[in-house]
Parts: sequence; C-alpha cells; structure tokens
Amino acid sequence: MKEHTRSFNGFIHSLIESLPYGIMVLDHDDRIQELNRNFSFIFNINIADVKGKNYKEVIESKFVQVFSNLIEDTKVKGFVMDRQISVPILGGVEITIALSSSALKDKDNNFYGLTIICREMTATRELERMRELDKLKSDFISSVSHDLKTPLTSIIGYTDILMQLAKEKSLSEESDYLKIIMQEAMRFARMIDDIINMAKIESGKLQLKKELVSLKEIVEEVIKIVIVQAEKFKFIVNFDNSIPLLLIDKAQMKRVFLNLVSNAIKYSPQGGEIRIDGYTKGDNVYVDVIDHGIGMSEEALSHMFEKFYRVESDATKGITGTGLGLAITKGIVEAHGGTIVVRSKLGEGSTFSVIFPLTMKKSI
Amino acid sequence: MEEDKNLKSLINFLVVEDDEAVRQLIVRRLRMEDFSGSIYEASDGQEALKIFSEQEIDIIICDWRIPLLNGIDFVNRVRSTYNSSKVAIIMMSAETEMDKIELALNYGVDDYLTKPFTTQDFREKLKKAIEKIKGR
Ligand SMILES: Nc1ncnc2c1ncn2[C@@H]1O[C@H](COP(=O)(O)OP(=O)(O)O)[C@@H](O)[C@H]1O
Ligand SMILES: [Mg+2]
Repeated sequence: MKEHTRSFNGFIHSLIESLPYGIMVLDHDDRIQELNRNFSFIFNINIADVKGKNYKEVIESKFVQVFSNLIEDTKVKGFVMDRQISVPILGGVEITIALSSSALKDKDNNFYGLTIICREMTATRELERMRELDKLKSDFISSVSHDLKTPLTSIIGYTDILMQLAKEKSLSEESDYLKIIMQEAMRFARMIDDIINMAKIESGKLQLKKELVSLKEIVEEVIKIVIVQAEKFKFIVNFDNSIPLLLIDKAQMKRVFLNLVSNAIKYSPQGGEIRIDGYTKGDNVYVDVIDHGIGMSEEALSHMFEKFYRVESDATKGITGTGLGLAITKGIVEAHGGTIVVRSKLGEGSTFSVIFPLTMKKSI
Repeated sequence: MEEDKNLKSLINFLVVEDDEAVRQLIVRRLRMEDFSGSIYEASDGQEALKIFSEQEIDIIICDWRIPLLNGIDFVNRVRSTYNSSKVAIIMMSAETEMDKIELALNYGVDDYLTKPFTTQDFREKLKKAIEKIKGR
C-alpha cells in the first residue's frame, strides 16, 4: 500500500515536471506544494527548498501583486483563464505568459489549495504580429506601385510625343532609341502590375468576379494577343467538346493562360509548336500548355512557382522577366479551387497542366 | 474633314490633374490632336469645380486621386449639382480593380483611362467622348 502511494506520487511529480507549462500548486495557506522546473525558469526562481514556503517569499517582488490578485480571484470564482502578463527574460527580451488558475476543493466543497499554470504565448503573439506585418507589407507595396504609375504615365506619354516628332523629322536613329525606351517603359509597367497582383494574392485581396466562361474561348483570345509577335511558332488549340462552361473570373483566367503561353514562347527560343489541349478526365477539367523549348531541371521544377524564382543558365541568358508570372498564375488558379502541375525535361520542353474540378460548373 | 476640324475648335476641355507633368502631357496631346478650343486646367477638385461652374465645358478629363475633393466626389458634384448630362467625363487612375472602375462608372463617369496609357488608348477614349457630345 505504502509502496503504491509512493509510486503514484512519483508519477504525479514526474508528470508535473515534464509538462511544457510552468506549474505551481499552493495549499490553503498559500504555501508551495509543487513548483516545476518550467515555472522556476520563467520566473527566475531558485528551485531548492521552496516547498512549504509562502509563494511571496519565493517570487520576485514585482510579480507578487499579479499572483495575489490571481489567487484572490481564483478563490472567489473557482478559476481564472489566460490572464496575460509580460515577463522579462535574459537579454531584455520580453515574453508573454498566460496565467490560468483553478481552485482545489474537496468533496464537501472546502477550498484546500490551487494550481497555477503558465503557458508561453510569445509564439502565438509573434505569429499574429507577423501576419500584421505581412498585411502592412502588402498594403505598402500596393500603394508604392500605384504611385510609380504616375511618373510612368509621363515617361510613356512624352516618349510617344517624341516618337511622333522624330518620325515627322525622319530622324531614324532617334526613332530607334525612342522605341527601345518605350518598350522598356511598357515592360516596367507590366512589372508593376505583376507586383500589385502578387501583393493582392498574398494578402487574400484577390476578388474573383465569376461567370460561366468557356476555357477554350479564353485560350483563343490569348493566342490572338500573342500571335502577332510569335511568327516562329505554330499554335494548336484542341479542346474536347465535353468541357462544360466553368464559373471563372475571365480577366484573371486570361492572365493565367497569357502567362503560360508567354512562357512557352519565351523559353522556346527556336520557335516551334505550342499545343494547348483541353479535356476532361475523371472529375476534372485539364488544360495542358505544351512546348518543346529549353525545359527545366529537377531542381528548377521544385522552385518554379516561388515568387522571384528564375532559372539562371546559358539557355535562359538574355530572356527577361520578373519571376512573378508563375507565382501569380498559381495564386489565381488556386483561388479558383484548381491546381497547376508541371512536367518538364531539360532540353525537351515543358507541359503545364491547369486542373479544375468539374464542380466549378455550377454555383454552390 | 472640314466639319471635323470645325468641331475640334468648338470643344472646350477641363483637365483636372495634380501631377504637373501629366497635366501638361494631356494638354500637349490635345493640341497635337488639333483641338483648338479652350483647355482649362485645374490641379485640385475645388478649383476644378469653380472652373466648371464658370465656363462652358464639354469634356472633362479628371484624375481620381486629386487634393481637396477627390475625383469621384468632384464628378458626383458635377453630375448632381449641374445640368451636366451632356458633358463627357473621362476618369484617369492607376487603379485596375474592376470594383473601383465600376464605382466610378456608377457615379456618372463615361469612360475610364488606366494609367499609364499610350497615345492610342488616349485617342480611343477621346473618340468615344466626342461621339457622346456629338449626339446631343
Ligand atoms: N515553359 C517554360 N519552359 C522552360 N522554363 C520555364 C518555362 N516557364 C517558366 N520557366 C522557368 O521558370 C521561371 C519562372 O517563371 P515565371 O514565374 O513566369 O517568371 P519569368 O518568366 O518572369 O522569369 C522562369 O524564369 C524560367 O526559368
Ligand atoms: Mg513568365
């Protein structure tokens, strides 16, 4: 029997020691019955012979008021949940601690002590703060990007005027340079749009205006846009009739396929065939964008959809971009409830598959 | 053609934009497109409202983000306070969000020009504005 009690107490003691919380147990006269190592770490207490002492003799004076309030409230209400306090630890760093306490009562409802549990909140708080910072960052990026558009309006506008004047005066060299300025300014404008879109996606501000749309039509419109600057390419669009109209944000989805088709063109410097196949398989609609360009290594494949990631190799030398296209593409596809996957082989080409569940054809 | 030239000399513009370079750009563009009527300039919403109340304006080209009275409030005042249904209003902004564009259109803006824009974009919007005031 005695043996039994000892081993049970030992079990409780080791349980209290191994919990990831600070724990202190007091009797009805506020004397310490248990105080685990975590508690002593948090409040900087020397754990040797604290047992039986009043907690006020043990705890640093600046915390005494906090604990006495906690204990009084616990005696009145029976328990206290998550009362937050800041505790300085080494190096001036503060951590946030949530104190919870509950009264111990016997079967006749007589108070005979209480337990106090301290939980470290810093990790949770840190996460909240990081979220706040992230939102601030997105708002900041978005507002700066908007501001950049005003000077860009002047640059593009006045370059346009100069181009017209140069043409009237038949200044061919000047015209050539102005054309380059114009192209680069337009590229800058697209980069700003990419950054704004990325910020919107990251802050969850991308609002989709869904309507029933034909994916095939979207792809055909995209081809119409790119074909004027892609003489070296042959485009083949092949869609099964089984594909239903889907609930999609048309403008955003156009951006998705514009990105994929532009990449297919950009990363196939030799030109060639670009196929876009649409079909249904199982419960999903697939649209594959297939090129026979430079392809990607395993390493590149694992990073492709990360923002700002770009492959740097001999094959990609001289090809410009922001590395945001695919991150945006993925964000838009996922916001629609779809997924995007890629298969590729270095030197042989790439296939990007955009996959939507067939359930997207009806509103839920 | 002759009639066109005649029309172009009769149209009065109000350009509302606080960015000096962009405002000058628009004025310059209009002159290059042979608009020889009056072009009034304002750099904030209050000034714009004052000019609008004193002059005969046919086409307003207005930025969204301007001091004192923002573009939308300015347009709202023009539409609600004056008999301005025959005035064509083009709103300029860097905003590409459809919500915002729809909001502008609901307040009585006829067309929307996204910054930055090319001469071609500008001409297209202008053409539509002229069609509107021609039809009156
Ligand atoms: N069709 C493709 N074939 C080969 N590489 C590609 C293809 N599409 C994308 N990539 C690689 O993935 C990178 C990221 O693509 P993306 O996010 O569109 O950025 P960007 O085109 O602006 O560089 C590219 O820099 C390129 O290295
Ligand atoms: Mg790209």
